Amino acid sequence: MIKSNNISLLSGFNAMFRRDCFQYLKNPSQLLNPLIFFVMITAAFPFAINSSKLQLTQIGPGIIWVMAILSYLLTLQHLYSDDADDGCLDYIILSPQPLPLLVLAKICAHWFSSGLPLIIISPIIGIIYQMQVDTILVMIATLFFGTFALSLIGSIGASLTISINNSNILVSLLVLPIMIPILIFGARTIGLHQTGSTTISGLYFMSAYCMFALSFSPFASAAALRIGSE
Amino acid sequence: MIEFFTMDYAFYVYSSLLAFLSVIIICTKNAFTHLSNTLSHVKNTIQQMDNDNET
Amino acid sequence: MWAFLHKMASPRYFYKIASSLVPWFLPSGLLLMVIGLINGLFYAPPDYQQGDAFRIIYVHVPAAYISMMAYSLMAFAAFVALIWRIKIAHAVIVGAAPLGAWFTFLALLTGSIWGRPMWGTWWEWGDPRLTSELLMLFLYLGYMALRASIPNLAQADKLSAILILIGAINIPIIHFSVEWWTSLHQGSTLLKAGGPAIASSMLYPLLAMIIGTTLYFGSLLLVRTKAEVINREKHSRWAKKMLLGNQL
Repeated sequence: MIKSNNISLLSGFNAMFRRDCFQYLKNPSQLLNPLIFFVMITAAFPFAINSSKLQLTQIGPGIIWVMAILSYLLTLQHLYSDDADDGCLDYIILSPQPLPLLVLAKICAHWFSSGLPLIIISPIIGIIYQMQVDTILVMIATLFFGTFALSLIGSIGASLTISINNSNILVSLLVLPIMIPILIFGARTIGLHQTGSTTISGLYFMSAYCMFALSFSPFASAAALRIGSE
Repeated sequence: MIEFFTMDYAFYVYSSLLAFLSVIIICTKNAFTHLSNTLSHVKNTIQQMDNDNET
Repeated sequence: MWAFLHKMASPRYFYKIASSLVPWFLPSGLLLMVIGLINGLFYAPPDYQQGDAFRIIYVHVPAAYISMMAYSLMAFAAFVALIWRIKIAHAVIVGAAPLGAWFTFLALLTGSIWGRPMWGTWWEWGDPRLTSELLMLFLYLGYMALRASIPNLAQADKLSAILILIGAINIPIIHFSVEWWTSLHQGSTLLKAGGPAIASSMLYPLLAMIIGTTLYFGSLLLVRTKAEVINREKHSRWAKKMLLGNQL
């Protein structure tokens, strides 16, 4: 009798997740550049718009959200292209683990290494925009859902374009329209909190959007990866 | 008949009508020129393939 | 009927059928549009609330209807193409995309022109119907951009079909947005329980416009799909025979 290694789904997910996290850690500049971009641009707005404190709190949520999405889109190009370039993607596609699971692991690793730092940096930006602490908490909650949704939707865009070089603009073109509802709800939830209304409905919507994206994005990305690497 | 041009909001109604007619004309023209260009392009390609075969 | 559908999957048969249908669809569509426009502009009575500005409905509603119908058609064709691998469905999607994009743009433009006197604004960013219709325009453009940037035809077909299917969720969002959220846009007038909430003298030109524009869209779709089909089938015998006649 041959004792076989029981390769469970969880171990496949873990292996992929850990591999991707370590890869991101080995190249910290890939992670840090978009973050620095985010910080610099959001900090540049108050200099450019000679605005009072009241104006800053009004325009703050929108600017932070738009710049968060834009800098997050910069990180998306490395999601599949690095693996496609050195041939690992073919092995990942051929592996016995279900490809949507591995794709989900990649998405989670990407969010861990790019989204989480963004969320951690965001209170500093919140302070630049004169936000109160409770508003900053709401902003963190909305950014949490927003970055995760953006990882999910962005992976679809990235997987559709792996066979194209320099596809960054195309990925943004494909992903941004689908991200507009999240952008609207995210920015407006923070704004609603600033004026004292309840924010729970906006957060419900954003979490529902995340769940919906979670339900189809790994499968769509897996299908697109298979087709794109033929 | 003159009152049709001075009804309220005539500007808006007629500008949207103009937009509609322009889109219809542009689409029809584009579709038919695209078809004829494709047909002539394919015809040339087939003729070229024929010549390559025969030489 | 199934035999007919089976035969339509063959490019040669489709080309023949399309060529014979276009001379019927296009003139009848244009005729119905002319009838609808003249009746709507000159003979329909002015609205109680909106005065004469409501006449934009005769242009805006058909354009919006076609924009959504074209996308649904593309989504269905993408489904057929991916699941049953019927290649001609890809040609249909390619043919429908520019038309759908033009009609979406027209719907947005006429809606914006109508909104200026009625709502006081050219555009409203928080409005769910306006933003989801704009999203649909971006989906059309994204589809065409994605197709254009992938060199391999089979890959381009399948990947852009996946994109269309992902965006198909937008169609129920556009349709039900006026029910689910508060919107500047008015609710359903025609597809309501209890019949259309519009007077007959205004309804008939609108129906004529809708049917006429659908026929017109169908004819242009057939023309564009014909072009795409003959482009894909240029290596086949029937294409050679049709184009070069008997100079074999």
